[in-house]
Amino acid sequence: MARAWITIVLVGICACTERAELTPDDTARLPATRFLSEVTGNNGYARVLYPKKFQFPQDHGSHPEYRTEWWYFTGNLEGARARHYGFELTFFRYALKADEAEGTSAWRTNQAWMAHFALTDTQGNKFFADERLSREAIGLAGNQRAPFRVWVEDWSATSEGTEFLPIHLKAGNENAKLDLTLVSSKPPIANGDRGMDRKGPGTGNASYYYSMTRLQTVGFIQVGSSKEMVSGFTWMDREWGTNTLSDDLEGWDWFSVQLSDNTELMYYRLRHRDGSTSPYSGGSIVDATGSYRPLSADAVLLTALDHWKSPNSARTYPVAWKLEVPDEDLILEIEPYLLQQELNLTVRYWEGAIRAIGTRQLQPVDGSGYLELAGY
Amino acid sequence: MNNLLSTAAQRFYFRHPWQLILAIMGIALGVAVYVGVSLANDSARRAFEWSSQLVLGRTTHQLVNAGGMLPESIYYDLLTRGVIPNAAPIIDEELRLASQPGRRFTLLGVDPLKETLFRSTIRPIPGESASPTALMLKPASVIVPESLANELKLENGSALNVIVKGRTARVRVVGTLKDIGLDPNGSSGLILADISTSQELLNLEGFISRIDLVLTPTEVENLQLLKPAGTTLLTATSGNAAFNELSRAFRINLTALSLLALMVGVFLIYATMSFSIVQRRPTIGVLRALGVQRHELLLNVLREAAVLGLIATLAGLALGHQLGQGLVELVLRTLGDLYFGSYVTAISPAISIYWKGALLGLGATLLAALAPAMTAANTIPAVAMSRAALERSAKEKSFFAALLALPTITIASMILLLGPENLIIAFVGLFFVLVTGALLTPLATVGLMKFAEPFVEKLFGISGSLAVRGVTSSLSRTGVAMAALTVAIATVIGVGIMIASFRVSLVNWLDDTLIADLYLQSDVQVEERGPFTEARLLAIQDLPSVEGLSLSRLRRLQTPDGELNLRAISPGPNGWGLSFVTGNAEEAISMLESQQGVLVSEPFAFRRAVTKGDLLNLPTPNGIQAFSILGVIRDYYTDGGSVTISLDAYRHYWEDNGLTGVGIYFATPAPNRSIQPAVQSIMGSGTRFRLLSNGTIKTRSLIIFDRTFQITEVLRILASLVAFLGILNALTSLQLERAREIATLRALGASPRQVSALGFVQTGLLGLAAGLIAIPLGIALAALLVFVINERSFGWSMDFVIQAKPILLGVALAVTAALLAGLYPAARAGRLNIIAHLREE
Amino acid sequence: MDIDTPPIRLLQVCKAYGKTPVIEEANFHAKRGEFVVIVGRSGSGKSTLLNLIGGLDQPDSGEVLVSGHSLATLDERNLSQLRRVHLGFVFQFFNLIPTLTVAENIRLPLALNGLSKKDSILRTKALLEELFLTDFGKRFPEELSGGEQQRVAIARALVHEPAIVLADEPTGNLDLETATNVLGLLNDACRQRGATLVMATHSHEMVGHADRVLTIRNGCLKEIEI
Repeated sequence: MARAWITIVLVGICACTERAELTPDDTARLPATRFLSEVTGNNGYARVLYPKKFQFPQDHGSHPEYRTEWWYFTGNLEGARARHYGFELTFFRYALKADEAEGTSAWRTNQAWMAHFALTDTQGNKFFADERLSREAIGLAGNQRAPFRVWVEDWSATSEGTEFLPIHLKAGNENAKLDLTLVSSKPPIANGDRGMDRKGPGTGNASYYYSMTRLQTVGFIQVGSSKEMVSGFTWMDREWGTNTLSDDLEGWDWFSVQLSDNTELMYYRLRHRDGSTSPYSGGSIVDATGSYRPLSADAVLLTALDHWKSPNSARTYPVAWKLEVPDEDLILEIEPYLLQQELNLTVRYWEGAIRAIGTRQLQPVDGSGYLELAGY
Repeated sequence: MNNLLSTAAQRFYFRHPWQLILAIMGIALGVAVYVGVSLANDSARRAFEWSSQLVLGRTTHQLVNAGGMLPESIYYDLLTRGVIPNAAPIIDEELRLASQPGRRFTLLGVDPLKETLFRSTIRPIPGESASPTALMLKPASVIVPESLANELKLENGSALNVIVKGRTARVRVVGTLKDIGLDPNGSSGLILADISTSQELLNLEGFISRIDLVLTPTEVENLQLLKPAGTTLLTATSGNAAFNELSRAFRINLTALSLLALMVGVFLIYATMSFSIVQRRPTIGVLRALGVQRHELLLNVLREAAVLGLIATLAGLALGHQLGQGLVELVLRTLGDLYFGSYVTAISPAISIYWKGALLGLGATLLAALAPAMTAANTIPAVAMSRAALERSAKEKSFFAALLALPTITIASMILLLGPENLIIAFVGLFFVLVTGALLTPLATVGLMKFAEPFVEKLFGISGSLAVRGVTSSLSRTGVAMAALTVAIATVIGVGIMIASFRVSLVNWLDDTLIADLYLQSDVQVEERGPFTEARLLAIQDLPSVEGLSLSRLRRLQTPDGELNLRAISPGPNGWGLSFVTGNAEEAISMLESQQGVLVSEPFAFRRAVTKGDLLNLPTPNGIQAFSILGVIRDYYTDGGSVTISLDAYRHYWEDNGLTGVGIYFATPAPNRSIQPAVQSIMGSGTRFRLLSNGTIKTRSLIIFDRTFQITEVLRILASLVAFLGILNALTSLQLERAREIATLRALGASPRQVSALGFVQTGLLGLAAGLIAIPLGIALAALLVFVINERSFGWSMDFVIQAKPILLGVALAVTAALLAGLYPAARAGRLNIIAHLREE
Repeated sequence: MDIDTPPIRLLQVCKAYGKTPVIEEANFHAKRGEFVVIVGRSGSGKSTLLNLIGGLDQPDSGEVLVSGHSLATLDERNLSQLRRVHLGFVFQFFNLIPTLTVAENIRLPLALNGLSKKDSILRTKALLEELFLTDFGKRFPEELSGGEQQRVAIARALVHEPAIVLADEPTGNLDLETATNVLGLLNDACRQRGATLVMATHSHEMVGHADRVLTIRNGCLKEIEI
């Protein structure tokens, strides 16, 4: 969903502001205001104004005519003796301007890229996070359509063949690495109104948004020098747009859950500055067969159950939740596998693997997923 | 009781306001010189650290190409293969303003996306003016230092004409750079551009200068294994190790000068305090007789010293701060001339220097007061020494001081001859030599006066011998001031001789090496032939009255041990123009011609501890190559160290046909007027080069030389000023003490003018004595500076030339200082109240 | 100078320090070769009178004439000139120059008068003999006893044959026997040379030898008949 803020952060990076000096408010506000200031004119970028029928594999590739775009993989994996891992691998593209840059240097480009990587080793009680930043120049970062590939430096997602799946994810650093293959999936779902996901009242306050909600995953995780074979499910979000967010937002809480009854749920709550929930919040729910329907803002009830204060940033995050979907008679209690899943990168936010336990129509149900807490 | 004692002290100063002013001025100046010089020194250090931090940031290592530029594909490979995550591409090049070509900046091409990790010090001023998007997107965009923007009234979007790689280019300002961390002016030498802009401005598409890295030890190991052939991994400091060493040497020189100032300052404080106490010796004797306890007296004197010291120290700190401002500018300019491509401006001072200055002022004042106070407090009135007794003991004291000189000179010689070859040790030895000189001064003065008396008497009659004997007998009062003056003058002479020697050596070296009549120099390092195309060279060669050409290629070479200057030469008709220090010139040159080795410069040989016959490993595009060292040559051009090789050998090993300089030799002395325009027209107008005559280069070199030593000049003047105050103090005291004698002379019919003249002759003699004694001491000092200090700090050897000028100047300075200092006391002597002083005992 | 001109004349001389009058309307003249003693208590103005005569101090009113020169008309240079030619001083504390030998101290006035070294050495030698100082010529003053030092001072006061010798408590620092001895020498030497000797003293020892005796009391200078 709307993780557009991260791409906006690129602007912040370009401004070379030091991370230590960014207060939580700065991270939340600077991008948002900048974003708004550019809403009035779209500066030549395409905007998301109408629903769209996604064409695959073309739409897996990038849409550089829009300002921001991302490929967002999160997943819960299991190793030997049910050892649990969570991972996040994201690729963001951000256009610095709409038209291509001119110049004779190969470094001249209008596209900047950022990738985030996080690995949660639940039993090891460890959390790793790292990032890569490069421009789309001399092959340092970019997207390629056939076979599909998106990469920033040495981190990449690469299709084996002309089909999107199977696709290899490769990322990590000296301390933690992942090398995964996403094998098969339910078909992609188009979120919002036929793929156009409105996030605000303004023209163009929307994104094209599709998800692949259950990607069968196998591969290897390496923590330190020990390498382990793992398997599990990955969730992929794809989103692009221009001026996606409205100005009055403080942040958002994004939930994705893959349940044991082979259903999935995604919901994001956009928070106003006054703490209220934006009416443009929403989500999707997918049944075992792959059919799905959108969830409106008021279709989901969220109650924070517990908070965690980060020792690194002194920010307090609501990390445990009660999530109710009355229409579905679904009640879930959500808690993180690890409390410390705050990404201390260019921008700090909390995003981590979660476990869900609850009932659907009074039948017990459980599962895993990812929770993103932004703007705290 | 105590109150009464303080009152007595206060009244003393009320009655002798000059005494008070002198005491305060003396202490204040001592503190000021120390603080001022320390500030300058500290600024130099911080400017250096700051500028290297500015450019290096958190960089731990740098990957460079031995052959020159690094293909950008290497950066791509290393990053996409995951060998090194924290890497930033850099292109750095010298940039000059077209409007002020004398000002150099560093054009630093960076990838803004990478800079947060590397150089948080480089931070554009937030806001639209510093739009990084513009920096990345718009061709020729740069971010300039805020100070430059203010100076040139540059606004967002302003165009600026610059010279890079010898070409004029127009860049556009998209923002200003402000240093938030340390100092607003800290980065005035840096102009920031996107890496793409740098490539386009410099025609370097496909290449970068280096890769800056932040590496863990494991990554270092990995990279050592995986780095492409021809590249060298440098630790971020090693490239600057030579610079570090240099600035250290420069700073040690400065520190030594500040310590010298300190020494003279302490002398001065001592003289001041001890005089003010000694003058009250009778009072103190009476007080003791009245039953005042020893410790009460001491305490009182110390309290007085504390108050005086405090006031004077505060004044000194203020004065020192001002002095520092001036000196800092000089120091930085020297540093800029010597070591930095860019101009680093003022740095906010370290507060600790002021504290140290305060401690020094108060401490020295208290200590200086303590010794005479103790002597005085121990004095019992019954045995209070008469002046005559004091004067007799002055001679004894001179002998005693001279005896003390024996151990100090022994220590000095042992340190210098047997101690490790270390700069600091050398300075310690030098100070012991100075101390020896100071200790010998009183006895030498006695001897000199004895020798001079008959002549002086012949000249001035009995009042002449009166003057001469006054000098000797007053040594108990003037000894310390004399020693201070002598040391100061010796320093003036020593540094003067050193500079003169250096200058002579430089001139000789320039004569030896600048053997072409005209020089064509390319403004920048060029990989290709640059402006020196084959056709142009042939055309110049064919000019009438041109006998031949010499070709040279000067470039910086990154080696694991640091950066060096590689100079490849193809000699002209007058030979190589080399000045050998070690090695047989003919043999070495014939080997050089047959490409069998290299010559190294003296500083290089010193720094790397290599000499003739050793092997020198140099990185070439085809890997490390060992060259045998054929000899050591003198090279004052760079003190970073240079290696000379034949151009043929260079082209062979480095596969680089670039040229940076061409020397033009005239067949018969041809008038420059006709040939220069001819060369100009051959070179054309579109290229950037400098055409300089032999004479111009010499003149410019000497101008830079003189500028470099300007700071030394200032410190010499300061030292003399301190010495002058010391003498003034001593003479004032002398005049007060000898009031009765003067009164007697006046009663016997000596006119005011006669007694003034007597005082003058006496001060003149004092100054002359100090000046004469300073000559051998100064020469010794110069020898130490030339043979020990300079060699150890720069690795430069030089001819030792004792010129009359610095010596005469020194002696003249001593006499002038003494006579100036004697002006006021002598005038006072003439106006002396005769009656009052006739009757006192 | 006319032979009849009195070496010293004071006309209506007044001198006060602040508001305290020290000398009031003093009138006095001394003849050539006279020995005049001025007696009075400490602080009575004896020294002031000598200082006025020696040109070391100026009167508030009245006139001081030395060898016919009115001192008020002389500038500092001429005053010095007058002192070095016409006057000799003997002080209570001897005031010898410690850095000069006895002979050099004695020679000093001759040197100031520009006499050649050869002549001055001869004259110094004669005086050394006259004052029984022959063996002390090369010694420094500090090596001499008080009486010896004062003899040196006397020699220095006489060496240039001044018309007037002013002695301010010359025996103040000497024991009685030495004092008598020294005064005898001084008196004899002056008489031999026909020099006018004016001596200030608080004791009456010398009164018997004097030609004239004056007292100062409350600023009044009076001659005592003997």
